[in-house]
Amino acid sequence: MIKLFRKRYIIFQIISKKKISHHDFLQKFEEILSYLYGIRGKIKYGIELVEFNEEKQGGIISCYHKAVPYVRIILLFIFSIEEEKVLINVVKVTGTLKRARQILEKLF
Amino acid sequence: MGRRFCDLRVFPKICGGEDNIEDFLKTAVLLKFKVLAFPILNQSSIVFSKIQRYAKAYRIDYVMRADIVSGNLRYIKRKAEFYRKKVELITVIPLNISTARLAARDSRIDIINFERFWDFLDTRQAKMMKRNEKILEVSINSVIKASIRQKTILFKKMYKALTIASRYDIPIIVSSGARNIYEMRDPRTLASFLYLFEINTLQYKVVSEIPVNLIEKNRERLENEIVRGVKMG
Repeated sequence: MIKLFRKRYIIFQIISKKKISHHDFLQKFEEILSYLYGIRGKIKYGIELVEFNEEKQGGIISCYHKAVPYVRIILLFIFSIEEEKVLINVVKVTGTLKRARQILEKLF
Repeated sequence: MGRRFCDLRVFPKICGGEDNIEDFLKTAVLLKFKVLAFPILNQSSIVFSKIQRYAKAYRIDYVMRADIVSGNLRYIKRKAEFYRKKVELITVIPLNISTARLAARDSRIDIINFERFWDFLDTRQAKMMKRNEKILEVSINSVIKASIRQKTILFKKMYKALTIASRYDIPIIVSSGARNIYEMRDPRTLASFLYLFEINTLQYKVVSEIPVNLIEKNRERLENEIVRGVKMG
């Protein structure tokens, strides 16, 4: 039987002149998430920041399979963190956390 | 062959932006874009060929595009006539309702971008745009840069306008409108912006099929057409 809620893992990479900390990114992410979808959207789409690698300047966000475009919208709205311009590039969307971690490790 | 993703509106330094053309091209390669267009007005052919040379080095297809921003009917007509045989895409950004109607009527114009004036897109405008095969452009830059209060008002207007547009089956394209490389976004993220307004049917067409078809059609026109509507051979 096909699961009703299938998870997807979005691997992203931050491109900026300064290094962005995990705390700063999470704060901005939560701010935009609550502005766009609120607590209801957060539950409905199952959006969560699973991992953030400060060295690689990349991370993994998990959500339900139908919510991938909605997570992309959140990343679209993040164009500056702590007054530092950032470009967030979605590298890949995977179905397992193991594969997502492998891809994150391979990021430059 | 994979999809050919397009970003039809970026502003390098030469068009009043902040970063160089090379930086934009490098970022476009990183984000997997294949086609890029800069709105350039009053530039010589030397500049065009220089840009084309740069783009070729990065394996990006450069598209010439003219943006006409005006509230004057005569000015738009004059500019459209001037640029039709020179550039591949002509876009009008209307500043009042009469220029919006003109843009929907005029066969020389390909794309209409409402930027912040989304209330011009009503049912009458939508019918005219559909009849004359006009494409609606959504630039995300004007939206994401607005303050929270402005954003909410803009979203409300956009929701109304885009619902009308999708009801009348007007083709939509999404572009970044980036003035620096940090405002560029990857093609799938650009396309997902329409999900915010519950327009899920178009999916990745808004950054691939629709713009590519338009560019190919206009390139063929530029090569073979003698007068509007009359083809060679």
